[in-house]
Amino acid sequence: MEGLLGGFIVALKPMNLVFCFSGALIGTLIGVLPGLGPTAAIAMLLPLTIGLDPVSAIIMIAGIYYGASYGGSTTAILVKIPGEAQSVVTCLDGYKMAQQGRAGAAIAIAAIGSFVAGTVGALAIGLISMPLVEFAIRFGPAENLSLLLLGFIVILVLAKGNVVKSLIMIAAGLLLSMVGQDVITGQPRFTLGIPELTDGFGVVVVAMGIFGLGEVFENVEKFRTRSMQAVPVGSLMPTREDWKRSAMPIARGSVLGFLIGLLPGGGATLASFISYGVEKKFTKHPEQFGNGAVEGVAGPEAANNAGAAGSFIPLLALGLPGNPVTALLLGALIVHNVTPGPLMIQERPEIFWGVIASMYVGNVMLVLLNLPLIGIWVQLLKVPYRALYAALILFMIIGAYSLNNNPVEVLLLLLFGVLGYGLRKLRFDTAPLILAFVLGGPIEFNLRQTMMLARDPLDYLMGRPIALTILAFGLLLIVLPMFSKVRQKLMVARAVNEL
Amino acid sequence: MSGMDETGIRRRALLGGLAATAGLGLASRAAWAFPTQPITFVVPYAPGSTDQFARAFGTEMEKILGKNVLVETRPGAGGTIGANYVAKSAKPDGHTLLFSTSAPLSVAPHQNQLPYAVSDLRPVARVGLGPNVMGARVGAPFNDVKSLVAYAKANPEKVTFGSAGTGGGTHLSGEAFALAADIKLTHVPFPGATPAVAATVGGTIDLALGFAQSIVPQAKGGRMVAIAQFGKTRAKILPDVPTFAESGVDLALSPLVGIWAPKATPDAVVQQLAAAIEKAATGPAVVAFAQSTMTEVEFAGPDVFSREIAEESAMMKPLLVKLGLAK
Amino acid sequence: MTGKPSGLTETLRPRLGAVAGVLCGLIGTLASLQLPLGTSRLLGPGAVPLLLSLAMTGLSLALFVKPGAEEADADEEDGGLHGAAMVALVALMIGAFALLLTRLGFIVSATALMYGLYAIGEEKLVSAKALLRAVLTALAAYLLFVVALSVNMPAGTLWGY
Repeated sequence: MEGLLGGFIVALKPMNLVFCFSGALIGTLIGVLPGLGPTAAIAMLLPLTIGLDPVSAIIMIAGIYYGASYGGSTTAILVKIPGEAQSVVTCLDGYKMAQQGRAGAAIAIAAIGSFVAGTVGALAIGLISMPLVEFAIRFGPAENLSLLLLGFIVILVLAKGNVVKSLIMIAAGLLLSMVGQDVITGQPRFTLGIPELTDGFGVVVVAMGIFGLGEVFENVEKFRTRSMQAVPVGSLMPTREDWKRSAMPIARGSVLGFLIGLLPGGGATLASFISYGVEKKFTKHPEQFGNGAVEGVAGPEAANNAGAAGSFIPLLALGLPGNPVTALLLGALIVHNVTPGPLMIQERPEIFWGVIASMYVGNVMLVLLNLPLIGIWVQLLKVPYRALYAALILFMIIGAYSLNNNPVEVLLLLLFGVLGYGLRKLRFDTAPLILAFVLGGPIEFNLRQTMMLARDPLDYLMGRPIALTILAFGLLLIVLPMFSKVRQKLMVARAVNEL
Repeated sequence: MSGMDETGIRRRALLGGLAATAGLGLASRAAWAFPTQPITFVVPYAPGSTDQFARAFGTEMEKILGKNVLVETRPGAGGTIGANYVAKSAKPDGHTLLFSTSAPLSVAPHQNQLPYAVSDLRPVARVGLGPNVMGARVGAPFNDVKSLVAYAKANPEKVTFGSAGTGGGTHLSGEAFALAADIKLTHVPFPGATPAVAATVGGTIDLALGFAQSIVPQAKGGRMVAIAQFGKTRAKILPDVPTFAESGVDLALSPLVGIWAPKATPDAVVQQLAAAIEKAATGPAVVAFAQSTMTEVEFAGPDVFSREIAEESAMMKPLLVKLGLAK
Repeated sequence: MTGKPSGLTETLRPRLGAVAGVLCGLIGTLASLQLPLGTSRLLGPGAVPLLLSLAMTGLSLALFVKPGAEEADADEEDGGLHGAAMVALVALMIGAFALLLTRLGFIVSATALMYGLYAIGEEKLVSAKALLRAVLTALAAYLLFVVALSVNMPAGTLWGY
């Protein structure tokens, strides 16, 4: 508690407030550009912070991170272009809401959900980070695998329409994730001898291509047949009903997201997936999921923000980043002559607590910044699509190119755009494909690693209670609905009998 | 960086070119204008570590050469995409340089068919020498090289070591150690050095290999045991960790970080660059970087560096063949 | 089932998807068989892809046999042949952009791409308005990304960079 107070003293220094605010603002502005997400934003802006003292620099970078994550959700909702894997799920219902004229409501719910989750996350870090991190580092491949499988079950849950088609999409997504050098043996797989494919397809390129560019193609096709009416803008604020339906998803998403974010290999993306599946289970309106359910925005948005907060813990407490963004932050700490590691809390308490306190401050600033901005973002939808689409394409191209400074990424973006368009023409739902793609690599990798480490797989699993618990939970998720169906049938049968 | 600047640069480059072609007699060494435009370090890895090293050098070299030094990351395929870019697409005028580990030139050529030849890049200077460190999990049945070797001899394949990826530097170093100590270890690859270190801290695997920067802080915090460093002698920044040679295992393997230019770059430019790099290596930005990242900054000129790469390449080839990773 | 006439009739469409799925599955199977499969303790790089490819083939066959009913949201109209041609044109222009980017540099290739896209939007081949907009968009993007955010977009080898 004392440490946290000290942290607030650091974070509330006028200079640091300025850095926190400018980080959040610049981050938001970059994140809102289609195709640029938090990783890109931090990489671009890192050099700007070089002259600052370490605490201010880290506070500013954390602000950029949060801001860019918020901004990414905005483009996911408005134009179905995810800036980073963690806003992929937001595309599903957020974009549908926008098309129904409820873009403002979707963005506002996302902002409030993220705010609540960020605050919960920061509070949790401040109070119980050490015991949590001890728990988190015990996660080995077996635990990761069971968690990923849980995420995978969620994909099955969220698939809609024809089951066989969804399963085909899942298989295709998993197969796509296997392109590239096999991490275990170092052998290239399906790379066709193209060096750029050695590292596989990037998540951002796949998601942006299939969702973003695919959607643009779909609209281009209808230039002639449909008068491209701008989408109605509608009310900016969520309705009372929206609030009521979002409250619990936000609460659940915050807790879930934080816990998953803590784990190595977990992070914000998996958190958002799992939250989506959980909300679809809990809701009274499962049929609305995928067609603009507000819960489908509220839960995952809370979860990915809480997950982002959670992923700071292994970095700050042990110097062990769990995902690419925190790895970049680690680089940033080093640039500022701070050596991250288990001793950082003792040696540089002002950094640890300052960053945590700045999370509260940053979240408050972001929500204050973003609620008024909603009005401006929504105006974008008034731009005639025939002009807007050109800019969207250009932004996506720049985003793809800047990932590796390589024009091949632009070609890959195009490839996935065409794939997404074609799949839609064939009436396949592309969401399971993308989600399976995101999880595929880690699932295979952890599966094979577990098998390497376990001489006797069953015996090995028995000695890993956490993995078993997660697997059991996943099984429940599958089995429970079956029971309730059986019970329903029984009830119906009994009712018929009684007649 | 504005449009105005660029036309200015172009004009200057044009004038320089005219001067060079106008009369060879005039083009004495002093008239050889270098640098005439900003210098770009191409780092063939994702942002996060090597690019920061390059930036530190860039800061110092700007002061020496009087031109901006930009750092551009072109990651992919174990560094070979960026290396290929400098080898094949960059003008050989010394303004575009590769700043990388030696892997794209000493390891990758044995593994895959590459679009460039090793001779397409000429070494300018070696700037870093690791050091790599081997760390063990706390509570492992060994805590130094001697006890590790003894334990591994008694329990073949039972000791697991994590690397940053199959065929990468940390994997090969681990296998080289096993070969030198005549023991059998089980290799467990991870997607990067940090996950391997995290797995060792969490107790999932027994050993992890990586840059000092990722292991030594964990050892200082009591979450790992630093067993040995891979250099020939103890690194200046790491005086407390023994080398393998001290512990009776004949092994010295320092990951080389250096700077390369396209093959056709003139000798005079390479010499001028090497001189600037040598001076930059002792500049404050580089020294501060070395401190905070536990990097051994050690300059060596083009000749020494060429020899080191050739030696490393000669050592890696049989190892890769033995591991079934050679092309 | 809207019964609207379109390029793909509603009975053909699901079958077409199934055929594509079978093809991909078979290609995947063949490609996976080129890779070592490994043992059950140490799975090779081909094992998991092989399993998936087989699953994909089987599932697609099942879809071919029993395409099932179309989803409710299948009532979206097609853009017809004209629409498909537009999409192909846009895709070609993006591809050309990617191939020419390094040579022509960002400003020139972006202006050209933007002109094409705006012209398609207006459905006019020659348009001064599209040209003006294209130049402005490319310039704004240059200022935003290259100057303000220092994204390394290529300047163009053709012009001597």
